[in-house]
Parts: sequence; structure tokens; C-alpha cells
Amino acid sequence: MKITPIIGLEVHVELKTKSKMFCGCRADHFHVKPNTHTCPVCLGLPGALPVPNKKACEWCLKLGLALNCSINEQSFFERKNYFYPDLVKGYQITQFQKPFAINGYLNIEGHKIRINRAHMEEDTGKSIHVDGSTLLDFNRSGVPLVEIVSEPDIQSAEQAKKYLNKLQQIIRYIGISDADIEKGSMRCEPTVNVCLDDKFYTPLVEIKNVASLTGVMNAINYEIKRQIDAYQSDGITKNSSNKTTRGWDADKNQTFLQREKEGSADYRYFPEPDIPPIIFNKEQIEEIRQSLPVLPDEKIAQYKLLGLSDYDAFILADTKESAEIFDKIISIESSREFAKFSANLLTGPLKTIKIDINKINPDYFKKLFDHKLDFSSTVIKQLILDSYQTGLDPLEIAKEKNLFQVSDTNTLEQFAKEVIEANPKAVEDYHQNPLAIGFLVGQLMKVSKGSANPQTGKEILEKLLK
Amino acid sequence: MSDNLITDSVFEHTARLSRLEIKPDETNIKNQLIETVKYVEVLDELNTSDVSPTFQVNHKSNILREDKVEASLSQELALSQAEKVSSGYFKTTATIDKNK
Amino acid sequence: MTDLNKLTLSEARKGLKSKKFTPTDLVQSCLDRIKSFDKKLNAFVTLCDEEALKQAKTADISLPLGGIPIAIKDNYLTKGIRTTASSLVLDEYIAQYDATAMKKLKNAGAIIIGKTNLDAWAHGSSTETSDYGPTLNPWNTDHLPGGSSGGSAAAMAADEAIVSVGSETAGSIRQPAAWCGVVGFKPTYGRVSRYGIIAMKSSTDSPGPLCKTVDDAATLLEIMSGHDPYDATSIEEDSWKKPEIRQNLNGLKIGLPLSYFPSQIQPEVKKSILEAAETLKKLGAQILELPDVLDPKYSIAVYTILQRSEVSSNLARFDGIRYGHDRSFFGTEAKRRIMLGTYSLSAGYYDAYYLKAQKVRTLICQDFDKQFQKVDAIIGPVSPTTALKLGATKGQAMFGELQDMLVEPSSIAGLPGISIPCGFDKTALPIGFQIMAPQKREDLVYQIAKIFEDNTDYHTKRPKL
Repeated sequence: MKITPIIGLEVHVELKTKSKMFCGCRADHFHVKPNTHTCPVCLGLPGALPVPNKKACEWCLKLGLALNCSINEQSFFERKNYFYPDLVKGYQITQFQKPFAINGYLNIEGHKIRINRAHMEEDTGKSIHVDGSTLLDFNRSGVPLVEIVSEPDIQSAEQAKKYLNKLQQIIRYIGISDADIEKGSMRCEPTVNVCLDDKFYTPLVEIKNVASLTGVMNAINYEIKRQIDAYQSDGITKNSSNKTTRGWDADKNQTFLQREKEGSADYRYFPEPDIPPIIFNKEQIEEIRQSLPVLPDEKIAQYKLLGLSDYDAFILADTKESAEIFDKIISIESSREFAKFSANLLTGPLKTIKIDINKINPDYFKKLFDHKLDFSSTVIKQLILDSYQTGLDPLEIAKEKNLFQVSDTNTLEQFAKEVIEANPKAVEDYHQNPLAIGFLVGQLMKVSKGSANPQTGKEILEKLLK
Repeated sequence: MSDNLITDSVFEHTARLSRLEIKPDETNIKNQLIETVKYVEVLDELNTSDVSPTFQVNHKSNILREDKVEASLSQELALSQAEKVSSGYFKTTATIDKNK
Repeated sequence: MTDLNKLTLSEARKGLKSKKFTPTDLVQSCLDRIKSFDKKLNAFVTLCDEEALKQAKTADISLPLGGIPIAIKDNYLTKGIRTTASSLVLDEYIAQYDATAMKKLKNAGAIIIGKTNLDAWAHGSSTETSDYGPTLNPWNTDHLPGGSSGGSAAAMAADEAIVSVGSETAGSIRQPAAWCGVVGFKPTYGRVSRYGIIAMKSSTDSPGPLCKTVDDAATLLEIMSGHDPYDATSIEEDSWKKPEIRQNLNGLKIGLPLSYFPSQIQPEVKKSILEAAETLKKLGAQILELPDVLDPKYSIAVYTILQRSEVSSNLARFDGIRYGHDRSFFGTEAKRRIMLGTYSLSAGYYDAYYLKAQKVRTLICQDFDKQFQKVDAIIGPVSPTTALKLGATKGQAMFGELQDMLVEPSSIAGLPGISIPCGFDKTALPIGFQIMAPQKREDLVYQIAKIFEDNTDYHTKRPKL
């Protein structure tokens, strides 16, 4: 049986604006005493009115542009009407007919995943269910969210993960959200069904309560299998009214039915009368486009053109911060060699520590690069680390610690002669098997306290042993 | 708009969407609803095929606020009008289906 | 001192400034009046007697409304004071903040004497559908005062306060003003901030004054108006300022729409309006008949759909969790309106009802634009009848919307309008006529109303209580 999974992803991203979407309350709500960041607007008190946050709207546009969307020059907010205790007004202000951004895409390893829309809306409060009651905290009510809806172009759980990683990366590059799935600043809801033998489609299932990337993958894989099994047992195919919602149980590793959707919920959307439409002209959209940083894919391409390996390019472009650090270093010299040299240091010895860009001195990298023949690669790695940690010129450190690599033939010959005299058995081994030179080179490094140039040292040993 | 007879099930569905309980002595609301719906069909007399809707009568646009923090209500004031509170939270035992 | 409560704002301000009496005298006089008559009239839902007397003691009479007792319609949030919208859902709700308009009035020195009755949630044109019982018309207590700002209108007619405020979604200022023989000034939509006014139909709600004279109303409008950053629909201008009074109406063209005189209009009402037109003519205006004004019947349908749709959404926040009682406390009229609203927004019906109504709204606006090419202002009756009897609303599916047919068109288009007294019917019930102008032209409304008032004395009449 041919199995083609069909997956769409709906992602909500919490923007890290200072204030909420429609009022001036603080938008941060982690580890804050409950109901201390509320006002008539986000508490839904009688008579309160919403006024949209300009920065949030601009950031939504930014994200839309980064996702290759077209921007609707005129858009407006609408009311999505439904009842739930955490929804203070009994409606959510969101966008429906005319969202800010539409028809974008992301390329995931050569496969294009279309993005239907990116629009602006407000978050609800938080509910805690305890002993048959619900406790409500409205600090989160009204926090700005961007909703990004993909078309069902995703073909596997793995691809879904890659899509989410990409999205997360771009969002963090633009700097509009922490996009942390565990903390809830990025939330994902996959919608899954399966096409069997290119003919039969299982009913759509929306999966809620997925709280991690692994969870997304596991939930999708579970659902695909469950749907195939279900189809084989009941033969029910997708129609316009059998979409269901299932919750993901991370402990049990399975989805469970939450609610049958009666067709689709009737949200009775209508344009928000309290908020006049938003009009972005071409110049404003262009200005926002110009303010976008170079995005990861383009960054990776740039780095590859410089001669970096795929791996190095990928690592260095991973975050905006890491790219900025690399860019700062190579700003001092444009050669491909220097770029590769610096990349190696960043992806090697400096990979494990959290780099503060202010402590990066491009000069120091250049100095080491210019003197690279004076040191073994091990020494270079140590020097750059020491230099970063102390803030001192690496050449000064090398001078102090006497680490300059010896390539001078006379000195090396002295050391080589010492080694040959001290290791007669190894010399004999070498005459039997030329590969045994390795041991002698090692001894040379020891005797020279690591300062010998191993290549030159090897050549000298070989010459002396002839 | 055709001759919409609002059936009992449509009426009940509407009441559910509205989260309203229509009491036994209020069942004439159904007939009044039908009467009102019939009345408003008078709009069919007007041709609006080339007309765009007016959602905003004073033609404003781009009313946005700067991303600035303003003072919030105190927790005490925020909770002051609720029937049930608990340790700084609003409390409810309402069991409303999440109709999302 | 007696009868201080019968003063107009201008008179009261003069008296206070010249120290003829104190704010305490003024407040006390109103309270005495309320004590004598309001048990019957039921214009007030909440009385703020203690607080008002306390404020009177320290009132600053240098402020524009310093020492002046004001009655506030109970859909304005007034911080620390019970605010009910005349619905049992909010029976025990103490407002947690002040409406912007309320703040402005307070900053101007006004002393809140009480919160006035309205049709619950402002759903009505009679004040009969208040959960606290109807307000009675001071002119004849077998009759209704109109609505939804019936409490404020009655309070003015009965001299229970010096000034009052209400709100109009479609007629709720003008119609009760007409039925109670007082002045009701509905500003342009967006002129006065809606922040803190319990929302009914967000796209037409217009808070405004109900007072004893045109000048009083204009003074209040100056104070209440002005751009509010908390209301994204508020006009981006500073407070409206009263213009110069005209000495005559020479050069002004005033339109009289024939379709505003439907067949069911009370003959005395028609006669009164035509006489008012004559007065304006004598004052120099050119009166033009407008034969092709869009039939108000369409406005009834548009208004019914749009208002009830927005109502169904605006009342969704009342779930009893954060404040107020649960939804079982809604009255029947509220339920009726919510049901129609939910229905017209429902999947499958949105295009046929809501969207259609918004398109016809465009036609109504365009119609006014067309008429205002020919005339500067439009006058007409406010209501086809004088005050109806108690019980008139019972069992009616669309009482409010049908009653307000003559004020709905201008409300839907966001226009300013005023209702001022222009006569009485043979049972001594007041008749009012309305003056409407293009958006933001309250200056014209004021000037025409003022000169009419200066040349007549209907506004000086008061009911015998």
C-alpha cells in the first residue's frame, strides 16, 4: 500500500513586544504574580476598547516578508466569536478575510512548503484546572501572537520538524520572539491525514497540546499509523464534515479524541468595528523589507561562496548572533583563506563557550592567521581560547608562554638527533616500516614541548634516518 | 434571502452559540425572531451588486499605538468584582466546552 | 433656597459665581426634588446623595462645571460607583475605572448626583425594558419617557439635576429628549470617546448630553468631546468649540425630507414640525422640500441587523466570571436581540444579512451626501408620535427599531443631530424636532437650534409634578 502523509502546520508565535496587542499592559507574563498585568481592555471589562500595537503589526509584516509572503496593502481585524473562560470578551480579535501577509513559502531541503497566511491576533488568558474548578490568570490575555498557517505540503514528521526549526530560526533572526516551544512562545498544531494508494484520503485530524519538537514528530507519526489502522478497519474517508480534534498525551505517547467538530465551529467572523483598517503603502512595506537582516538561507549561501564548508556555513549561520560574530571577524580581511581559518576556530575551540560579540577582536584573529605557520594547529586553538578569555593579544600570550613553533632547521635537527639517539628500537622499527615515523615525530613534539612544526620535523627525521 | 423558516433545531443551535437559555415563558422569542428576519428582507428591494460595504463610517485608518508600557490595574482591583477568587486567580466551576 | 434645581446650567453657574447660593444648596435642592418625586418617576437607578453632598462642600466653582449636579446614564462606567446598564447581570457591579467622557466631566468639576435608568443595555426606545422597572414620563406618568436614555431625559424634565448625559446608538438621546420636552444633542460618531461606555452597537454608539437648553448641551459637548487615544474610532481633533451665535439664518438652506412624514405620523407632530420649519424660514432660512430622500424603512432593517449583530458580540463578555452575574440574568429583550444578532452572523447567513446591511449602509451615507449637496442641514420629526403609554412595548418583536425610524438613518451615517422642543400635543405631551447636519458640523446644528430656541419658549415649559 502506498502511503502519502499530508501534513499542515499551524504555528502561533508570541511576540516579545513591551506591551500587549491592544493595551499598554506589560506583555511579559512568565513568573509574574497572577492578574497583575491587566487593565479594562485585556480583562474585558464593560466599555473597554482595543487600540493596536504598531510595533506588533510591523513585526508581523516583517515575518511575512521573511516568509516570502505578499503583503495586503489594506487589511483589517475581525472578531472571532466563541465562549471560553480564558477569553475575556467572548471573542478574540484576529484577522480573517484580510490578514497582513499571504501566499508565502519556505524551502525545506529543496521541497517548497507553501504558507497560506501570517496574521496578527491576541492571546487568551491561562487556565489551570484544579479539583473540578478552573483558575484563571489574565496576564497573558491580549499578548500579541502571529499565526502562521502552512498549506498541507509537509510530507513527513521529519520534514515537519525541519520546517519548524527553520521557522524558529527565521523568527529568532528577525528578533521578534524567543520562539521557545517548551516555554510556549511558539506553539504548533499539526493537521494530519494520509493518502493511501493515491486514491483514498483519511479524515483530517488536528492535533493539540504538543509541547515540544519531539512531541510534534511523535504525534504526527502516531497519527499517521493510527489513521492507516483506522482506515483499514472502518474504511472511512475524508469528507467536509468529519475533521476531528485530538489531544496529544506525551506520557502515553498517543492521541485521544477531544471533540467531534460539527462541521466547523461557527465563529461568526465580522470586521472589528472598534479598529479602523490598517493600510500599508508600498514605501512603508519596502522600508520594512529593508530593515530585515540577511536571513539564514542567504547567509549560508554567502558563506559557502566564501569557501566555507557546508557544515561550517550551517553552524555559523545558525543564529543571527553567531553570524554577526563571524561577520565581525571577517570584516577585517576579505580573503577566503582568512574566512576558512576563522570559521574553523569558531566551529572548533570556540564552539563550546558562549561568545560575547563585544569581546571578539578581529585583529587577534588576523594576527594568528598571519602567523599560522609559527604554530601547530593545537597551539592555535589554545591561543584563540586564551586570547578570548583574557582579552590579550594572542601573539603576546605565545611569546610569554614560549609557544612559537620551531621550523628553523638547525634547532629541529638538534631535537631530531636527540630523539634518534634516545629511541634506537623505534629507529629500527622505522627501517622495517616507514609508517613508524609517527612515533618518532611524537617524541620530537615531546622533546620540543610542542613547539616543533610536525611536518618539518618529520622531514628532518626522515632525512637524518636515511 | 429566501423564506427562512427558523426551525427548532436552528433556534436551539442559535441559542447554544449565544450561550443563552431560553426559558419556557420566553418561547415566543422564536416567533419574534422569525418576524424580525422577515422584516429585514425588505433590503432585498435594493440593488447592491456594485456597492461596497461601509464598516467604518468616519473613514479612519492606521490608528495604532506606540509599544509603550502603561500602568495596569492592581491585582486587588482586577479581582474586586469577581464572585469567586482564589490566591490571586479568578475561579470558575463553569463547564463550558472549548468551542475553538 | 427652593427651586434651585430648576435652574439651567448657565443660570446655576451665574448664581454660584456671584455667590447667590452654594454648591451644597444646589445639590440639596436636586436631592430634595429626587426625594419627592423619583420614587414614582424612577429616573434613577443609583443615588449618590452622600458623596454628592460631600463633593459639594469642596467644589471648585472656577471650573466650567464646578458645583453642578449631573445625572449620568447608567451605561457610563463611573469608578467606585455601581454601574448596571439597568440590567440585573450588573446589579452589583462597582465600576473599576472611569469612562473617558466621565473623567472629562469630573475634571470640569461636575458632581455626580446619581446614575439614571435606561432600557437594559440601551436596547430600546422607551426605558420600559429596564430590569429596574420603567421610568415614567414627568409630563404624564401614564406614559413612557422614551429611551434608551429615558432616565436622563426624565431627570431633566423633572428638574432632578441641572445637566445630564446619555448615549445614542440610533435615537437614544434624541427620542427621549423629544418625548420629555428637553434638549438632546447627539454628536458626530467619534466626537465623544466611547471608552468606558458599555458598548451596544460599536459602530454608531455616540455619548452626548441631555440638557434643559441648547447652550447647556453645547457646553457639555465642549467638555466631553475631544480625541481619545483609548478609542481608535474617536475623531482626531481637540474638543469641539461652540461657534458664534447667528443673528439670523440668512443664506442657509434647510431640507425637509418628505419621507420623514410617514402615513402613521401623529397629525399634531406633523403640524408642529411644519410650524418649526416656518419659524426657521422667518428667521431667514430657505426651506427646501427633499422629495427623494431614501425611505427610512431601509434604515430600520439595516439598523436592526447591524445593531443586533454587534450586540450579540458585545454582550459575550458577560459570563459572570470576572464581574457581574451569569448569563441567566439577561432579560428577554436582551435575549431577543442577541439571538437575532447571532443568527445574522451565522455561517451561511452573513452575506445575506450582515454584509447586505453594510452595503445598504453605504447607500444611506451616499444618500445623505447627495442631499447635503442641496442643503446645509436637514430637519424633521424625531418620532412619529408623542410619548406612548406604558405597556406599548410589550410583546413587540422590534419596538425600538421601528420607533426610531426617523433617527436611524442619521445615526447609521454617523451624523450629528439635536432634538429640541417645538410644541405640545393636545394632551400636553411634548413634541420635539430634530436638526441634522453633515459629519463634524455640530456648529450648524448648534446655530440653528440656538436661534430657534431664542425665538420660542417651548423649552421653558416644565411639567407640573
